[in-house]
Amino acid sequence: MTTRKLGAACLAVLVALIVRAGAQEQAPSNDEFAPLVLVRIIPMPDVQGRFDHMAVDNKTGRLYAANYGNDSVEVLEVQRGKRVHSIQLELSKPQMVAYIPESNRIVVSNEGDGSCKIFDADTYKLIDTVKFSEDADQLRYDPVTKRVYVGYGDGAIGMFDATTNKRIAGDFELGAHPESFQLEEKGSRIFVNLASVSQIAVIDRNTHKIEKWKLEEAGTNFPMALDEEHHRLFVAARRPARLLVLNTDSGKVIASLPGAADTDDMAYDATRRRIYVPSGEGFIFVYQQIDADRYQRIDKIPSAIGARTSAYYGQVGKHNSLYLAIPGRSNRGAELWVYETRD
Amino acid sequence: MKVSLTAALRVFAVVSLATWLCAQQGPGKNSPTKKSAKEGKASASTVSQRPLVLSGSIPLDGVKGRFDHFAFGQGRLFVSALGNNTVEVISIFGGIVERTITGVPNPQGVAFSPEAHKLFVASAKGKLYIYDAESFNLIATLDFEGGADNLRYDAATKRVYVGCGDDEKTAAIAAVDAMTNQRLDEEYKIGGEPESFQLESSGPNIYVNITDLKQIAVINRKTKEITRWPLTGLRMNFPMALDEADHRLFVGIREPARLAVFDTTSGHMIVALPSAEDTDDLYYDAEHKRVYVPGGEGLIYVFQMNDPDHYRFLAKVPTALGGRTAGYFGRQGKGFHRFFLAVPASGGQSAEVRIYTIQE
Repeated sequence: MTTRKLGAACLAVLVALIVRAGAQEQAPSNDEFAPLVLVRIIPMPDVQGRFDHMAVDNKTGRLYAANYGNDSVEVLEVQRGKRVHSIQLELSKPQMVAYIPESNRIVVSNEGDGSCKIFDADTYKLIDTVKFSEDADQLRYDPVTKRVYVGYGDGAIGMFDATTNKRIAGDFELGAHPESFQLEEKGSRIFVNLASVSQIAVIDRNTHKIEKWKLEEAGTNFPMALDEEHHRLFVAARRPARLLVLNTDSGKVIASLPGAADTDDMAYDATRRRIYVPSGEGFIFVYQQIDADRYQRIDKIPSAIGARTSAYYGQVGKHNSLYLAIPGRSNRGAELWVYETRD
Repeated sequence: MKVSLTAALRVFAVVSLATWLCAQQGPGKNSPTKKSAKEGKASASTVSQRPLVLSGSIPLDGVKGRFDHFAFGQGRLFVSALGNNTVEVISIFGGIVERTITGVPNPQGVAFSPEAHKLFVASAKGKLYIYDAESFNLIATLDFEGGADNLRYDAATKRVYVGCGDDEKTAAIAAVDAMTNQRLDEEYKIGGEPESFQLESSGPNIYVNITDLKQIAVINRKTKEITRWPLTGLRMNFPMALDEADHRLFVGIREPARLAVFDTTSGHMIVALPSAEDTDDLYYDAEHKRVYVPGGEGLIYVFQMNDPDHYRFLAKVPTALGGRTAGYFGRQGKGFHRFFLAVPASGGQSAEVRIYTIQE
């Protein structure tokens, strides 16, 4: 037993060293006991500009990253560690990508012309355009109804059918631009961050009723994640920088912790009951959900300045990966960093 | 080095196992304990001690030498790369250099007119360059004897004020009509080279730092009278910012390094606080009632106004050597509240514009 343990420990150290060597100079730090370990860096040397949100096709391991500043969607093959394509046609300040597995298509939202562009995920050919009045931003795909929900303008959440690419009537008017929003899978609600008014809108898709929860302690709430099982909603506030945990039954804030500055994405890891919050200040904040009411920040992992957008899909096969977009910086091109989550 | 997928998978399985084994031996450093779970409870203190957090960088590869001043308009930052003889046009939302304007020898002040849709660039070599703000084609140039330095745009009159000249004879604040590109008769001879100056929007005054005369000149645009506030014990007053609502003028002093606060109704200096060394820009944030003073020594000093008569030093934010010129233009679309700092190339490191997110 002791020998086995020792052997495993030695192997672990060796492996950690190998991984470290692979990420030499690239990774600012890679603590082998950290809850997130950097395992891969995919260079995008000639890509400039600010990255916005990303989507992954978990079957092929292809990642699609919207680059707002470059008017492009960068396509990377994560396993091969390569950038394979850059979609540039028809895009104007792209903000988010959603992947539709049934049709193997991607949807790209654009701030510039308010459109959603639909591309074939293999050939990158433009298939269709769905128009919104202005500033198409966050996207969520509901595989049950095969609908794409689109946050747009000042503001509302609209919908279109992912099969026909036709808009569906009955937009949910919100009175402010919707930032991140989350769809309930077991319920009928949509939770929406209204950052400009520091509120969370709660839409009931069945009754079309909209309730609003005002955030008092901290606001300018951009990213959001949902733990449906425990009835908890996570919001990263920017003013001031706090992680807020809300009870989705009562709308009450039940926990508030120091947060990362300049956040734009966050994720809930249901397997490890953790919350990952990357931030432009160059850290990924990691919080542990001890139980539904108690939370603790367990790590602050150095990443890179400006690395504020990420993608996370939970456990997919053997992987539980967090993808982080690193914008180009002085003397160094843009990159995608792939982290694996750890117990 | 390359690690194949299968190898990587194997590696993670092993490492995870080893980590799990370690975790069985006792609480690791990351194990949540009851004691530390207290952190999860709502905390009363939410005010950050980090008023500016570095959150982004826009690389300016190949840009050499010293930077000078900034202007902002329509989502774009205009940065004078004085040593590089260029003006860098940067999309702040896109985080990208959209364009580089060449052919301006030693650009200093920049000003943007949304009404005229033009960009004005002042050259130390004695010209004002006027560009179309879409094509960035040069529309016109105007000559200024003794060099053109700081520029301010007055939206009410659609005039660009030009700090120009370098001696008793030529030193002035001159005016240019942004719409017609013509130099106007309006000109104020001030007797010494003007450094930073600020226009009142609710009153007729222009406040001007005259370093050579150790003065602040107050030009009344209506009466054309010039009042002078002498500086005592303080030299080298370069940057300036105005808080019109509270009638306060903030002046960056280099010798000794001080932030001096003046009451604009009386001309009296209220306080002079130890501040950043080697300053060339400073900004007032009306939302947080703070003053940001970047210094070439590699620090941004942040001061908090408690009330118009009381100020306290809030923080010193480490930056980079030579980071002395900056841009702050209030809150922009979607809650974007940032402070931009130019960092010149040094020791193999490219030049960059750093983006600081303003915290509560």
